[in-house]
Amino acid sequence: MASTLGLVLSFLIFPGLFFTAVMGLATQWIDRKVSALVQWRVGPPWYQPFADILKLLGKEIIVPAGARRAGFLFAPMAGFAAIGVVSTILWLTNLHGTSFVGDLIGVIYLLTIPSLGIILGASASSNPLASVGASREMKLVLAYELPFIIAIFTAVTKVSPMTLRLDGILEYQAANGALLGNVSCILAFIVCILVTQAKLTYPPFDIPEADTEIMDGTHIEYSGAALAVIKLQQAMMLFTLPIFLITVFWGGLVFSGWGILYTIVKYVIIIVIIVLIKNVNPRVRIDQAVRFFWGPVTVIAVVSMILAILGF
Amino acid sequence: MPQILVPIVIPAIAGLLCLFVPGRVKGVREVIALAGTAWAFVAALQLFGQWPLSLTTDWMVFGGLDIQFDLLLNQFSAFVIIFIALFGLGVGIYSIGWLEKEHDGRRYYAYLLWTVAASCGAVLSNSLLVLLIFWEVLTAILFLYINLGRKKDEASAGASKSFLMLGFSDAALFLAVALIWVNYGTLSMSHLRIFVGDGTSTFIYLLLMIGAITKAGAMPFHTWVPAAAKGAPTPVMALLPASIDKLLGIYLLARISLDIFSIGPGLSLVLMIIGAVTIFAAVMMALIQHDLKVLLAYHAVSQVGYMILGIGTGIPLAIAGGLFHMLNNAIYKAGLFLGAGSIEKQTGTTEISKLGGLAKLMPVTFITMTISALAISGVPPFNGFVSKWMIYSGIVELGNRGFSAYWIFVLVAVFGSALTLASFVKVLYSAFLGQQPSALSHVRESSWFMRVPMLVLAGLCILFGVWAKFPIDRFIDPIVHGAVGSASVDGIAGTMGFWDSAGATSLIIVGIIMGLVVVFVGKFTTRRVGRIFVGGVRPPERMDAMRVPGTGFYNTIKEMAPFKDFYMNAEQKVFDVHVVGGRIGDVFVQALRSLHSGVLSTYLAWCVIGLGAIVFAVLTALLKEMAGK
Repeated sequence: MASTLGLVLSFLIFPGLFFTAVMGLATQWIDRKVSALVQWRVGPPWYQPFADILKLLGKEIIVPAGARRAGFLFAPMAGFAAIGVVSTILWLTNLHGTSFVGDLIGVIYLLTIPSLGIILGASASSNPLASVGASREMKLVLAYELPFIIAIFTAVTKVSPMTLRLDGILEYQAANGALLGNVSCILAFIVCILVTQAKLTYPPFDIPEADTEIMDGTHIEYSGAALAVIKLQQAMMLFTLPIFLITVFWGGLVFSGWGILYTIVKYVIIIVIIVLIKNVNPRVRIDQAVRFFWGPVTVIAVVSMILAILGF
Repeated sequence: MPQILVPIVIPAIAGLLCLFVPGRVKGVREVIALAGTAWAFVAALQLFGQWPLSLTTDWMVFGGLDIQFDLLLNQFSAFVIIFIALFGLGVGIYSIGWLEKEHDGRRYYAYLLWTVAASCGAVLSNSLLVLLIFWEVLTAILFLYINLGRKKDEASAGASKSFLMLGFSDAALFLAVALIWVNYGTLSMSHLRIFVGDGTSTFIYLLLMIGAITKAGAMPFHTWVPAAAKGAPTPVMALLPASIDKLLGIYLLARISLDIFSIGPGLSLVLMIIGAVTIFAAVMMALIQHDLKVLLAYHAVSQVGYMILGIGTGIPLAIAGGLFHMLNNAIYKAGLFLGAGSIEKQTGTTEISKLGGLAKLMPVTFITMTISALAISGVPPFNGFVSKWMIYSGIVELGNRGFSAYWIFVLVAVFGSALTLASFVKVLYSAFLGQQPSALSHVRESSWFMRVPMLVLAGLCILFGVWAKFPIDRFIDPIVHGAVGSASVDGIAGTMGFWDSAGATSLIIVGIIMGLVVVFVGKFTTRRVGRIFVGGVRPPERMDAMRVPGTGFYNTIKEMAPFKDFYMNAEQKVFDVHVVGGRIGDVFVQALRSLHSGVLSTYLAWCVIGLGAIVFAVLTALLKEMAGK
């Protein structure tokens, strides 16, 4: 790996924060365009998500009276940074074929930091609606984390010898074909798509934000540049989570010849599935969501794990 | 005096001195207590690296039983005594700020010093009998210590429950020591090498294990920890159940499982199951607690599960993880209890429904408790993450060796840490971040005596997380190397997974700076303070009406189908060994009770019958002997 400066640069620009943010905003445009198609609208021009962020940067920040100011403004940054680190880990591992900074466990843990930042920031805002949102967000994390862990370890079980290193998983797939070729991993992948939906707090799991009910819940008091950071973080999540799924289940990113096109196709397929689920489902209540994830989804995940152990 | 005795003798003498300093003389007790613990700490630091260092004196001879006072400093004990003395010193400093007039400071500091002395003794002793004696002394001190609590009823209830359960475990230890003497003829831990194969050795191992895990507070012998938390002075919780008891219990468990006994896969599985059940059940209980101290006590139980799970796997990486987790847990759990004590001191309550908005009023407590809370939840880059990560990797390695149920243990461990996070989100929200009840507006930050230990512990959480290599190479590696004889922990870790803590941390910091830059690029300067927005309604002047207390955060889960029964049973104490054992004992008590009619003639009749039985027994024995001649 290059020098410290090179490392910081790759974190800041490519494939870290800047690249992830730009790609995330571009993906949000796909999201909005597909949503528009579903709803028989035209949809915004490609630069709309960028324009939204720029507009937010120009607005003043209003801090509610009685808020814990430092916590309120600082908490979203942690999630922003963590998702940048995840993106860097995934891309550099895919690019160089050697693990960088962390492995699968590190990535799973880092992926919870954005939720944690949102929860703590909302808690610090002194707004009762934000408190309700924070409580829901935490319960949602608990709900999806259970099947998510089982599904990810299904992939680990299929890799032999088992390893938690991302480069190990990629090497195995390069030699033996993508994990998605196995029945067990298809089930695990379906579970992970549902979890992704919840991690992005997209409908039907937009319970912590629930704009018609608690008016954006966790984000209700954020404005201006602070809200821009949260929006950027959401865009980066939208970009990073599919990459994570491709890395673990679908053979990783390929950067040569027709592989580039195939990689893009894989990415777009996942995004379109997510956007379609988002558009055709109403919001559920938090207890329904918890029951859903701890009930049927966990059962599917356990079945996929047992199939993986049996060798399917 | 031999150097190895210093950490035992100096605090013991200092404790006696404390007891004899009259109550009116101010400041002397504190100085003695700090000097005693600091001396022990320095001595422990000097002893580090000097292993093996032993001290053996003939003590008593009973018939064939030759008891030696046998101390041995090895890699493991050298490391543990450093932290015992450090926690003693830290809690000593903290107590200067914490103690109030109605506490009995004389006894308080004496017990503190004796705790340090007896704990160092237990760890350094190489004879199981000497260990047992120090172990019992600690049980007694803990009983007295909890009784110093201000709420007398709760304190004495907690104290007697702890004493009973620990006394039971000490009895198990005693039985084990006796059986070892009978079966193997030596009590020296460095000479005992027992292969667990037959029933006797398994039984002895299980007895020792009960002694160890009761001290550490694992299920099903955990209920004394929450009971003690209700009544004990909060720094005592930080000192004993949160840190020193963990060090001692896991120390003994590791010694018996790795050194003395060679356990097979069956007992390994037993340990792993105990660990997994402890992690999960205790954290589920913690999730619904409304008293900060009891909540922390359940977490103290839950975290033990990780250590037992790690040691139970028998994989060097996971053992190292378990031992590192023992150290990390002691650090952040002590930090959390000290924080809770600081809240209790300043607000007069630990009921989380009555707290709120303390982040602004008590910033140091807030920051240190947040760091400890994130560390216990295993959020990278703090220390809890590194040790948990090592345990997970070790379990996956176990899966590689053909143990296909490995994923259940990984699942419980990873999901347990998500539940821990949820529980601490509730704490941070309700105590520090949520709206501030108007009753708390006068609250101030606690004194510097209390702040310094909290800051040091929080600092260690960061230090051992970001530069985890240092404590692992220094403290953990020699132990695992000595016990399992494997390659260095780092080498094994590299093949299983990969975590560059310093790298990740620096990237996160750079990222946070970038986030702040984004905010500053925007019009950060035109920051305005406005009213909160609650859907167009004008918020009331007194915000108390709009407070959302954190106590109801997880009611959704509490009322869900399978958990409802679990919680109901738990509230009726179906899982409490102490209560269940009490019910069984009560049957006998009731049967015997009917004999106590209060009629003197009946009692006399019983006495005569008893005398008759004794005389009969003696006479038959005598007759037999005469017949034999």
